[in-house]
Amino acid sequence: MRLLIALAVFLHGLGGLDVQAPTAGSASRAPMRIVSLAPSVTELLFALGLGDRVVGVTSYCRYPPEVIRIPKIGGYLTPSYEALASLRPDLAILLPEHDEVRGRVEALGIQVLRLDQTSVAGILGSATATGERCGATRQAASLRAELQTQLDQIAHTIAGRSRPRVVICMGRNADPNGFRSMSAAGPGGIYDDLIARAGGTNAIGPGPILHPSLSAEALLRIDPDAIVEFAPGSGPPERLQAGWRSLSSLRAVRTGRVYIFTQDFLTIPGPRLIRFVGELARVLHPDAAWRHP
Amino acid sequence: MRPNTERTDRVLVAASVFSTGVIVAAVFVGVRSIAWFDVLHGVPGSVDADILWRIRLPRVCLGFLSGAVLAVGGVALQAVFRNPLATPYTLGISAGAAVGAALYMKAGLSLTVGGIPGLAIAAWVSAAFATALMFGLTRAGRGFSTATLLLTGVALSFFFSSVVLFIQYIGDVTTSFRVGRWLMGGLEVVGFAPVWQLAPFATIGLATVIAARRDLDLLAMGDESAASRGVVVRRVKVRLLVAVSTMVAGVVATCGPIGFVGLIVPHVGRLVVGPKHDRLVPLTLLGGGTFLVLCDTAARTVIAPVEIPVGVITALLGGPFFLALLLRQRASAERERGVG
Repeated sequence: MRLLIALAVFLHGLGGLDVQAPTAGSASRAPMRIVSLAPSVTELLFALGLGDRVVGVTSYCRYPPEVIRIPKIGGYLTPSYEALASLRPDLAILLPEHDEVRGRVEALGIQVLRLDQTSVAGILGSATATGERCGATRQAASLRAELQTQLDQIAHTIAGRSRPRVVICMGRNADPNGFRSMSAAGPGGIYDDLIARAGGTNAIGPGPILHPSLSAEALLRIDPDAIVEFAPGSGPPERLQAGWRSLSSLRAVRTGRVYIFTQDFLTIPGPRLIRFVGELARVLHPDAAWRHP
Repeated sequence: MRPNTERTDRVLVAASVFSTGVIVAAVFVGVRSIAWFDVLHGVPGSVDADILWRIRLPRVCLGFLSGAVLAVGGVALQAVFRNPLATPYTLGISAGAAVGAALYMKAGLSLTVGGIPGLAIAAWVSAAFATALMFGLTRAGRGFSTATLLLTGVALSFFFSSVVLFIQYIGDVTTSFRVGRWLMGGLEVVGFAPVWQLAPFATIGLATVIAARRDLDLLAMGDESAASRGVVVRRVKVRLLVAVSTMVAGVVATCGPIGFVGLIVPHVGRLVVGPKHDRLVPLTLLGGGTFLVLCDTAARTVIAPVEIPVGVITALLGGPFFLALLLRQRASAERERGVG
């Protein structure tokens, strides 16, 4: 036991890491060979300064740029177990949707950390959980504090303001003649959470469908104050804007309140998505007293 | 007659040798090149030993077993229904299993009962329910005629597929993706547990079909003609259908629906050894298993470490092969006619 504590202290001095003194019986040695099974997990690990311990990522992981040289283990829900085992990881970090994957990873004798990143609070919580598991509690606390401060500032700035009714468009089916249908972010998901934190209300009311498909008629009936389109990796937003003009009787189109975002992280529930709340809040409340430009 | 039997015997021997070769080769091929010295000398903590014994070997075994079940299931159903388009999924088994799997994923459950994953149990139970429903409807309708069975199976399949589409639609992106991926089939396993789970279903089902191989010859000629030669048509049909649906449900529960094997392998078998089931069934068993192992080896190596769902590969590789075989057969038949 004393030896373990001495080792922990030694490692602490060596790497400047928050290695906690191990408690008897627990496997609390900080993992040194981590495999990430999702782009959002990879992003979080790097944001916590644990990038040099990441030995495997999925083929979807593109951020930060350093991950390009890290060995790939296959798809996000479909890793190659052979590739995974050959990296000899001591920790695999995955998400709730990795249910089938998890059993197989554990069968290979690899420890597993399961994170829930389906809400803003979940992303913040996953930073803490990862920090604790990987001996980076200090970095986790500082990342969390930074993100929480941003969220608090946004909440403070928009407090008391009327909340515009927003539709988030996550995909649109359009032809040269204009709009055909779109897929919206319904209540309950992370995008619903983003709208609320950015000072809007989701114009899609409660219902069983997470991503309802809306026809032009349905959209005209909802007639939101603002439309926010997420089109990660699409071409210039101006071209996408043109597609909305065929629905000129929509209030949001008439008043120029269609906002298009093409950043690729919009589908990755990591720290960057939380930082994006500020950007969203600024377009929903352009005349609020924003402190920074 | 005799030279023909000798030829089919030779074909069976060649198929056995080829199968063994493919199985052994499949174990050698993979993302990582195995350090055989470590494996053979039992070096402790060897990752290569783990990959070989716990990932590759179980996967190849599961592939062979599943392929054999699907192909032999296809042979049996094509004879029973006297329809070349009948597949192990014609009875609504695959679509039925998909409903259970999709509901399980939509509910976000994560259970294991006695070492068996909850997803497999949900898929199996709903496949069994779908099959029972199909038999019930057929009995309630116009008896046990093949046309009624076939139509009921197809109609139920469409119904269940719509249920799955609805579940995908109301689910989040991840659920839709998981369900979509499951529908493409996959043989990813760690450890032999899935093989042992499937083995009893496969053994009983395959044994039942092999035992009924002569009855299949007669059933393929029609119910009346089979009855006139002493086959208790209804009893044999029910026994075969129950055996086939049970073993196929086992495969779908373990690997998801893998299409094409059950449709095409029996036809290739017929082109090679003719329609007699005492040769056709063993050849299809070997052929189905080998074909799926080949497809899966391609699935896990072509763009490694990213894997292609094996259900995509089966039709991608098998389709052109089958069409080529069909065209060649027809060309040679025409040539013979021209000479004659």
